Amino acid sequence: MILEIKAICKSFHQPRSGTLSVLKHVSFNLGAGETTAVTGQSGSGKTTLLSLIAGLDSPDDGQVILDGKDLGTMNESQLSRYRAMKIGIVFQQFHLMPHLSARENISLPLEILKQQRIREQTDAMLEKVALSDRQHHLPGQLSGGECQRVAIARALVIKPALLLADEPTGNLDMETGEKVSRLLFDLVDEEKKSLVLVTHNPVLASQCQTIKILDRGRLV
Amino acid sequence: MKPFRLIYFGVFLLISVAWLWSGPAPPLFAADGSVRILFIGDSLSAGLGVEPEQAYPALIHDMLKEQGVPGAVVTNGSISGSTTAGALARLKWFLRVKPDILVLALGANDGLRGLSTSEMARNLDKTIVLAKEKNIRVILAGMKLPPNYGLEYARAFQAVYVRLADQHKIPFIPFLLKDVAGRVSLNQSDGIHPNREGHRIIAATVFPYILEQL
Amino acid sequence: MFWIRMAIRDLITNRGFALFFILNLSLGLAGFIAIHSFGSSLNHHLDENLKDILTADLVLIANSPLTPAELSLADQVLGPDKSHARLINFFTMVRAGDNARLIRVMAIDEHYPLYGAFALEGRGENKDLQERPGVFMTRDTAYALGIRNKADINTPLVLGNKPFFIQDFFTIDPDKSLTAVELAPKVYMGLDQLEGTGLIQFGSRIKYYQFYRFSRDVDIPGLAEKLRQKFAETFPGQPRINIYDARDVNQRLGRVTGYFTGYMGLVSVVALFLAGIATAYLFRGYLNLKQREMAILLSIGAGHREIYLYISFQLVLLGTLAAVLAIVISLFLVQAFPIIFQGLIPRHIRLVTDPSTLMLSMGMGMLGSLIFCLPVFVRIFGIKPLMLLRGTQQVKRGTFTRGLGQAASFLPGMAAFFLVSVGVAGSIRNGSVFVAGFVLALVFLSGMGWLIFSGCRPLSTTRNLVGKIAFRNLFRNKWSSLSCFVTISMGVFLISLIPQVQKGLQNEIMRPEGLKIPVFFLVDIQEEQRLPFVEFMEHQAADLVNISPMVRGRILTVNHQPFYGDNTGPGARSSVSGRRGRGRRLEFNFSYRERLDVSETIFQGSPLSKAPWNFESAHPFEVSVEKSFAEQYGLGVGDVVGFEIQGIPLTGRIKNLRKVRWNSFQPNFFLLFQDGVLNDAPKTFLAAISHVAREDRQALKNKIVSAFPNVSVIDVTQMAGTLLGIMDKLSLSIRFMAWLAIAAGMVSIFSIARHESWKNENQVNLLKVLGADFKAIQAITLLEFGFIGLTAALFAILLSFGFSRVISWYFFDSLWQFDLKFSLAILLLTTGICMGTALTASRRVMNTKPARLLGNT
Repeated sequence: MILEIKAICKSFHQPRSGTLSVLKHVSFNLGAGETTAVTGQSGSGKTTLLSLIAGLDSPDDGQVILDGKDLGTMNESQLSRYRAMKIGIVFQQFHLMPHLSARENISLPLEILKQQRIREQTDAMLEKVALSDRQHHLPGQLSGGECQRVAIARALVIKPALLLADEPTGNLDMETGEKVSRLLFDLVDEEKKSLVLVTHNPVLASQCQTIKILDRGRLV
Repeated sequence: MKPFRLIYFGVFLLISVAWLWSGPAPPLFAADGSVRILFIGDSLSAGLGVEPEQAYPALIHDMLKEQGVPGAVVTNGSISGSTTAGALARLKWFLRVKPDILVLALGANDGLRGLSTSEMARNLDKTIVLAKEKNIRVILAGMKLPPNYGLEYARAFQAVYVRLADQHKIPFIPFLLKDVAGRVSLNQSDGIHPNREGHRIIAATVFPYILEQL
Repeated sequence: MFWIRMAIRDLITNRGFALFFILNLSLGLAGFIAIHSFGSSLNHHLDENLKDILTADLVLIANSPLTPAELSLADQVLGPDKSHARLINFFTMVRAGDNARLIRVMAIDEHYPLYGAFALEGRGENKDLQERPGVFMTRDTAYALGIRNKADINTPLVLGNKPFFIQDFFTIDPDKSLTAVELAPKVYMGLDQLEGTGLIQFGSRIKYYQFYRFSRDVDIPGLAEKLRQKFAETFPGQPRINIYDARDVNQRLGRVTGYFTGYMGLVSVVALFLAGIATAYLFRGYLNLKQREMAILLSIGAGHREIYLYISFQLVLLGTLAAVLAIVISLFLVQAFPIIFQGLIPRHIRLVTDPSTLMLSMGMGMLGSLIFCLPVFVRIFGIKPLMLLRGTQQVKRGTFTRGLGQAASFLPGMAAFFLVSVGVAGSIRNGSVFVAGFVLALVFLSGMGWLIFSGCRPLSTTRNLVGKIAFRNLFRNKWSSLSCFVTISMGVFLISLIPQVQKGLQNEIMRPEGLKIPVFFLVDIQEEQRLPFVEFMEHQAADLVNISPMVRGRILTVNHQPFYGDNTGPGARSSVSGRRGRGRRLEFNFSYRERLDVSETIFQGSPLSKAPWNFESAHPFEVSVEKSFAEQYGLGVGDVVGFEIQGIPLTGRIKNLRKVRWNSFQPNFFLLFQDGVLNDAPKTFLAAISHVAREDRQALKNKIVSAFPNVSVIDVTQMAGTLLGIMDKLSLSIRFMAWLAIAAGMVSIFSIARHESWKNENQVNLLKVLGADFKAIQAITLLEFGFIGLTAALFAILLSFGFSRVISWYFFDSLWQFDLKFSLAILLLTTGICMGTALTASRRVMNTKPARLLGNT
């Protein structure tokens, strides 16, 4: 079991409207190599769930166990390290470093984690996302689809146990979106990764092995 | 703000001048039968740099009291920095205290400033003449110049006093600063104004001349 | 290495920003360096001037020869690496032919002068004086001695018993005689040639000088003090040796240069604070810009520590580059000053930037960036990759610990400010005053700003679209508006401190308008000579100024207590009575005048009544007391003072305190009496003579002396010239430094405003996309920025009035004057800069395709 979510709850304080419960006792498991989509309407808690799985935020109650370790027991810097080793994240907004080329963006996590054979791994990854010919371009010079391909490559280059994707095609047109999602699933399949995909796009969700629907903070 | 302090400092350091007040409340206009002594001098008589009652005119007042001359009234009309040029005007002002004896101790500043000795003689002469007209007995205190002024000028300067005393047949103290001038222990740090001890010696020098007039 | 590469690459990619940043910071730092260099160069120049006046670093003066024991003690205390010279000085009568004159003999050894030099007409040398009985004198002196043409030149001059001859004529001599006025002309001779004159004997009144000059950097006032102590310990009793350093040469000059040092410190600190504020502001903007990138790095595994290192390295790198650039700029700038500002800065000043200033600015750039940005830096704690998901830039504010951390993060910056202030201002006390004032101003202006922007809410309810949007922006973005307001107002506050202090100081130092620089000063004019003298002067080509009566007397009582006080008495005002202890032995000069001189102003109380005082009157007469005299002896308006004037006790009451322009060079008195009190007292008169052509001076002097032989004519040309020369330099410099500070400050404000207007681009772009017409957009921008600029400048200037008063009171003896011109200029400039930069930025946005800007978000 790569990911175990045990009855997590999360609520936010709002200055005017009081406490807002976003997640209410959500639990599910994800095995190695499994893919699952989390869908739901805006405000149903999808993004919050994703941030809790990624360890970017901590639940008020419940546990997130990633590859056998409870994220709640780690401090900020351990968490940061663990997250970097185990999780790759693909954002809707791509979030590439604007001053680094496609290639450098991809190799960045390897450098940060001080890994060996950076060049080979980067080359391989570039090839997989078919950007070898665009590797020296800066994000500003790439199209949206290309940017997202770089982001996917950056997420996968450290060979994470779990890949998280937050509306990876949300910022792309239909055609490009399809290409990117195809690439994403192909790579997940090829590398045997687990995937949690947050989206409200039913077509994209349907490509996952399981679909979990969030409604007002609960899984249905 | 010390306006013009520099000028004053310079002027009054070089040309010390003074006057002195004797005792806390001087009975200037004394009762009949007493002796009124007037000092007209410069900083040496004004007691520049010492307490008023340490200056030699005040010491003489004390000595007179001790000698049984209780009615003696001492008026010190000395002004620091003054020269002989103002002597006559000052005597006129002090005539109102009706002095019996005038101790005329001016000239040092004239000499130190290198003023004309004949002018100085004229000024002193006019003052003595007026005093005599008013029946005031005059004691002339002589001064000597420091040797650095040169023998020639110093001699001419000294001669003024001798000639005047001779001419007017008045008592003459040859050198007011006798046994005081030039002695480090008897002078203030400026090297020219007597200290407390110095004033005692001056008082001792002047006192016999006053006694003689009584 | 990876992080360093990253950091450099990042900066290269963002070179536009990096350049802007470096340029802004370096301008601030260059301003600081320029101001500090100019100030310290001038200070140094003044020091040199004072040394020239003293002709040495340190001098011992005694009335008898210095003993070997005393000399060796001095030698020991003053240490090695020094040179020395000897001078013996006395008055004597010199005779040439039939003429005899009083002269001042300056017998010098071969090392004299240690600073300065003779300007001689011929080829005479000091060495000649040592070997032969020759003298140096001026042509005027020779003329007065009857040596008027070539034939007379061989007339022997008899000094004591020894004949001398004229070796050479000097036009300038090294001795500037600021302590002893020119009662008699100076004649220089060799020290060894004194032998045989017979002038030095027992009873001779002679001054012995021992001059020292140090070849290494030493604390001269400190050494002088140490030497005084050592002498007092080793030779107890009344001190017979006076020890002076250059600053003691002239009290007023020393005080004025002291003011200048203080002023320079103030301007430097202000420049430094301005540079610091601008730096912190720019860094803050930079960090805000970097937030997203930091979050990305955190999300892919970078730790906070690495992020800190990454950002710190960038900051230090930028700061260092800025400092280097600042140094380069300022080196050119400082060198160019004399050319650019010809006539605005004193001539003959060698402008040097000393290494410590450069080190300080280097440190400011390198570490300052870190220290001053710490408050911004701690916000990195608050950055979470979560923002990447939520799509918000807002850092959560709030928790108590973070608030505490935020507050604590200001401490190193304040501490650094404090240290630098102490360094620049010269003392811990002064540094603390600056920093405390800075913090107070910050608190006040923040409060003010908060009130102002809260007050924008009602203003935004207007129907006018421009007003509505502009004021709503200000009110809704209260924190952002506030930070901009506080930064600008702090800048303006600091800048406008300068002109207020400057005006007061300048008025003090500047030569009074229409000043008649005296040539001669006359003492001992007798009462009966007054009218003849005035008449005599009417026929001369010269102006007789300010002929003043002078009467000497003592002060006996103040409020019926003995003036000389009692040190042991209970509750005695000890410091005052201690000073008064001497008062009894002192005599003072009293005078009276119909109206106050132009150099005098009443500081407290009302003018003396014009009606003459009646001797029979039961009321005390009215007295006017000079302010510093009153302070020194603890006198105040209303005090009843018992005087002793020419044997007559008189009682007066202090009616007013007077301030006297010290550099008026007119006869001024500490104590002025009501008319009628002194009119009949025996008195002499002082007067000054001005407007005498150089070539007529000697002739006029001779005429006066022969017509009024008892009147001493003191030549004050040299003294007045020297003092006024220095004053003019100071006055020019003080103004120049004020301009420099304002210019540097305006640059800082410009960079802040520009940064702020860049931030405004998104809003402008949005308004444009929504279809607002360009005029409306411009109006909104102008109103918004104009409002911030105007209110910030207005409150800052008002605050600076109060603060500059306090500073003047604390550091500069209350020399303060309201300066409307500069204040208005600062107000308008600030508002103008804010509006101008905003307008430029908004124009730029309007001319850009909206998509490009939207795409960048």
